[in-house]
Amino acid sequence: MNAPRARLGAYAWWQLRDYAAGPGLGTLVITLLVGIAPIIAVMRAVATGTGGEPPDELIRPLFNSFVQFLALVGPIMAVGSMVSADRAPGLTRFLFAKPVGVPQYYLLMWSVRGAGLLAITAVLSLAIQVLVAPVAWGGAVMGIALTWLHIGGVGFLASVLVPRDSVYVIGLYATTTLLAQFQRIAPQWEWVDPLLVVLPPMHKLSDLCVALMDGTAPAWNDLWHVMGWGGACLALGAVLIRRLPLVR
Amino acid sequence: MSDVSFAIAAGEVVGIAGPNGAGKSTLIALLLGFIAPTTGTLRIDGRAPRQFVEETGIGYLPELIPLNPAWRADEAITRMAVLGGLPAAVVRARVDDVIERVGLSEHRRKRCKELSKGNLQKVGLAQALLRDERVYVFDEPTHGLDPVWTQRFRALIRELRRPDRTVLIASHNLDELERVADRVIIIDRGRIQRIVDLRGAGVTEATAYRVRAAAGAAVLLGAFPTAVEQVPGEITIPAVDLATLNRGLAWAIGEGAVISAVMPVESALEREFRSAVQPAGGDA
Repeated sequence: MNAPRARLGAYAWWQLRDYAAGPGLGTLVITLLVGIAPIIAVMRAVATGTGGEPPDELIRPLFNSFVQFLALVGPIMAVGSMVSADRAPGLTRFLFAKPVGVPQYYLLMWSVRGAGLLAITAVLSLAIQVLVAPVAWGGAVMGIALTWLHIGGVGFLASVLVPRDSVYVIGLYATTTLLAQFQRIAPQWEWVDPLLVVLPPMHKLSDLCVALMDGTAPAWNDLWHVMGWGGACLALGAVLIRRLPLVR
Repeated sequence: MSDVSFAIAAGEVVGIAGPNGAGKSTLIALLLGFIAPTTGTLRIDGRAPRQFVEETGIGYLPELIPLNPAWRADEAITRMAVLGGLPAAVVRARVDDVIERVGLSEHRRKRCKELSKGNLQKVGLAQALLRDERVYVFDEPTHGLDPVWTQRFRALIRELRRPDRTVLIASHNLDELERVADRVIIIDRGRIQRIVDLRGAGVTEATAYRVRAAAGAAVLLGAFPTAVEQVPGEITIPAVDLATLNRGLAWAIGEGAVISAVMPVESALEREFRSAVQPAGGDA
């Protein structure tokens, strides 16, 4: 009856290593190549022209774009196939013959990957701060934390339910963003409104991120809406993972 | 699966046999709580399988070894040791011990993708042996192992035998099950077809034997008039009971026959398996 239980705290280091060597490294490389390159190019251009520090009105939108890019790529890579990649080949047979709670194992992984993503955000933002100009790195970390809660929560549920879950998350993001655009440019299309009510409010993330980075008050209703969806999906995923088959 | 009902006592080594697709892996997935039954109940020590596994753990070797190909052999085993709850102070020694025990020492730093099928199987076996479990489940345990390690596996099962421990082995290899199991559950088409008790059962039944004679084959044919000499020196005796067999052999030896081997043409388990599965016309 008193058999030892899994030492999940110790296993978190393995999970962090897996993240760092896989999705974390991918996020870092893609963000460095796509997100930071324009900032460095501008910095060089401005430094060559004026010999001084790039102006804030130039750096701020560039930094915001960089964070928004990271806010999309980072969570999708971190949460993609989190559960399904273990279940499809059968690694779950090894993991869960040990005295491990399935929701506990994956909620720990979710937390570890979120922490890893926040660390990447902090490091990249601080690098820009040191190498280019002062930026709102604290706001960037908060913005990424918000997107992780939302996209990470929705993605976790998707990964519990279906294989190739990243495709669904990207599809949801694209759909809600497009619908929000329609709502803005063609308010007469009333069929859009109920769809945006029932779908996860991914289209609201961008504005919320910018508000957090700029230090302005976010739209609180939107903030709760986004956080509520993420938290609810995460909780639902944790409940369902106990009830759905652990092997395919 | 349907109409599956059986109980396994502590101290037993029980085999599960069946043709491909019979339901062996499904049964094991149910026993480990990886899937839930749509109807009916399973209990391990009075608890639902998932609850038992999460509270107690099971030493489990899956049929396939789908470990992350990038993990090194010793890393994979160490991870499982941590998940198995082994204290930090003993993890390293215990991992070294099981690696040594399954003969994986020279391959321990190889990545899983670099290991041969047999060595990957040993990684799976090593992680199943990390803890002192009350329940062990081995699914096709000798799959990919060479004959030496197949024999060592049998010795391992003998070592694992303990009055408070249950060992379950699913295998296609009836000879292997016959050597190590107390009982064998034969399943086919998702149902239990037969449960064969190997502790003494079957040996009194009439069985055909193959007898090799180094000399005096003709005398043997005289002792068993219905026997046939299929190849020189090897005689097949149609089904006889043990008493008749022994009487005939004793007489033949007394008349100068020199016997080098006596083997049943078909073991008791093989006979039971064939008769249990054959009516289905399955793919056995």
